[in-house]
Amino acid sequence: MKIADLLLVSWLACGVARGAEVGDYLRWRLLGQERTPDGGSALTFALESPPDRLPWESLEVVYRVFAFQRPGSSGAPGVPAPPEIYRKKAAPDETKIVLYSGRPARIELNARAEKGGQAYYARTLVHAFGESGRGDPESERLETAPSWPGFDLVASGGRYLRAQADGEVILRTGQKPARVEVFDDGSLAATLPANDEGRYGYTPSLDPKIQKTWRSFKSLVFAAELPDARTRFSFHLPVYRAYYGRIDYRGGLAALAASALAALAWVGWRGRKFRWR
Amino acid sequence: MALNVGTVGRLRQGAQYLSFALLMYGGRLGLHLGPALPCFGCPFVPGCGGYCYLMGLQGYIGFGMNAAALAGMGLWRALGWMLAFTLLVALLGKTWCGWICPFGLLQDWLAALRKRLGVRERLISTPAMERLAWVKYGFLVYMAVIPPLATMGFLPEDFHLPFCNICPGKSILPLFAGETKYLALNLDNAVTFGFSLALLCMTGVTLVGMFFKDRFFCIFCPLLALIHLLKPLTALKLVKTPSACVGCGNCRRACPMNIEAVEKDRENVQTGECLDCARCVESCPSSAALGLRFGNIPLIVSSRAGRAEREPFS
Repeated sequence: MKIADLLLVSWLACGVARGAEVGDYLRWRLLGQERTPDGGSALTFALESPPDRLPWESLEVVYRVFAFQRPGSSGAPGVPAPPEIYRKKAAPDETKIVLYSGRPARIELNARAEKGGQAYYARTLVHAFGESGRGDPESERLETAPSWPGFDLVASGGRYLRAQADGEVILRTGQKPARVEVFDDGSLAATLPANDEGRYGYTPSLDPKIQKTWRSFKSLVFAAELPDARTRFSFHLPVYRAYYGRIDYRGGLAALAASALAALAWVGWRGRKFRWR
Repeated sequence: MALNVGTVGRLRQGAQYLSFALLMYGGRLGLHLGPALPCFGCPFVPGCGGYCYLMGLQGYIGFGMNAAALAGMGLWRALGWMLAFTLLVALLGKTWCGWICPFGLLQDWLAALRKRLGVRERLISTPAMERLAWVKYGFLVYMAVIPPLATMGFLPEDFHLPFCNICPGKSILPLFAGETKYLALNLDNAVTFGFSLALLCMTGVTLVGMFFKDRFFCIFCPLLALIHLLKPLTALKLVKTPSACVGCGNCRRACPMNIEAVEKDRENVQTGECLDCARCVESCPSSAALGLRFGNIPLIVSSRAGRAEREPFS
């Protein structure tokens, strides 16, 4: 029995050590973002694989886009119109997803790959491109910088990722806003410092509250209010809610069989003392 | 007008099969009964038609520590589902366990397999049963304590659904929809690994237990504990007329939980482990000795003729 216990503990310890590995994952990465001529957005993603796992025995990559309608475009007042949904096969090397101008969208990127009895999966949700606000002239638009070079995913315990942005949002209003805020669905807000150049840096990691509750929000929204107090703009930043990981069927079935056999052995061992009917 | 006790078995089996089909595959037909069911529909089953309240409960308990988050997920919706769960329990009591629960049907299948193979059932003594019964209340405490700690950041995020992560229903029920990934170890991090290992160990032990003991998992089921805590709200009761009892002991032998109280000389024989399955009523040879009642309305009442119809040569 002692040897069996020792083996079990060793096996568990090895498993925990293996499970705690970080960085050995399949993941989606945003390569870049650009504005399309009609004012829409194009996001380019690529799938990153652990080098030692290539080539995969099987690889399936798909994406789904939920393109929401413009507010009030159809349907009864107050009732949001259903989103347009399309699902396509993705390319692992480079998947470019073009989004409609002025329509918020949710993108789901899914990948599943298998090799050697283990399955890797990666799923990334991106809430992208929403634009609203009074005033449409170019001079009053709130825009993002052409790209978000510092917008990246930060691993959190290996499974969930946090979004960490240190890119810039550029206000091209010609006026210095009274305030610029960033807030999430949980109503946490951070007022950002404004400067005379009209450029406002944003680093969520400055506010630990936002990071801690990040699972509860769907998107980060920038809002700017001009001094006339009548003009408000907001812009949804794409926020990743991604998870990725690895599952091991062989180990799982071994654990299941071992526990069932242990239970059966116990029943067999103690069976004579049981009451049966 | 009570149901014919001779046909109750077939009726119960029909209800179990129908609920199994609806709860496991109903979502594929557009049926969504929501997350407040007092039985084991499982959200991890792709295309399920509704799922048990425990998942929602863990979420609400966790988010309850964060008023802003709870407001974001819909405080009124959370309260609405809580009310829906309470009303469903008030309406049907523990018949959710005995007549509707898909996981209960799986346990009945394994028990039927055991009988077909000629293996006898392992009995658990009443004192042992009373001790084991506390485990399900322990699970309730576990569900109440862990999610808030995860929400407050004292535990990793993967602790948000502590019971679902070790519930055998999560690994077994999705198999009927072709989902096998919960039979794998989750190697994302140490917490998910530990939970998936615990889940698979629980599954192995539960499968063996379900084979050797009728309704083995119900002994530990926290949903049964939750329903029992709401028992005062329901009018559905198993009632005995001691003066009509002939003391044959059939009721206890038929009871999948082997509840001793049902053969005692007292009117209230319903314990925390009773599933309201009415097998005791079916097996009772004495007219009006046992009955399942909704308030003063008799739903199923034992009768000599009914038992003779069900088992003519016994």
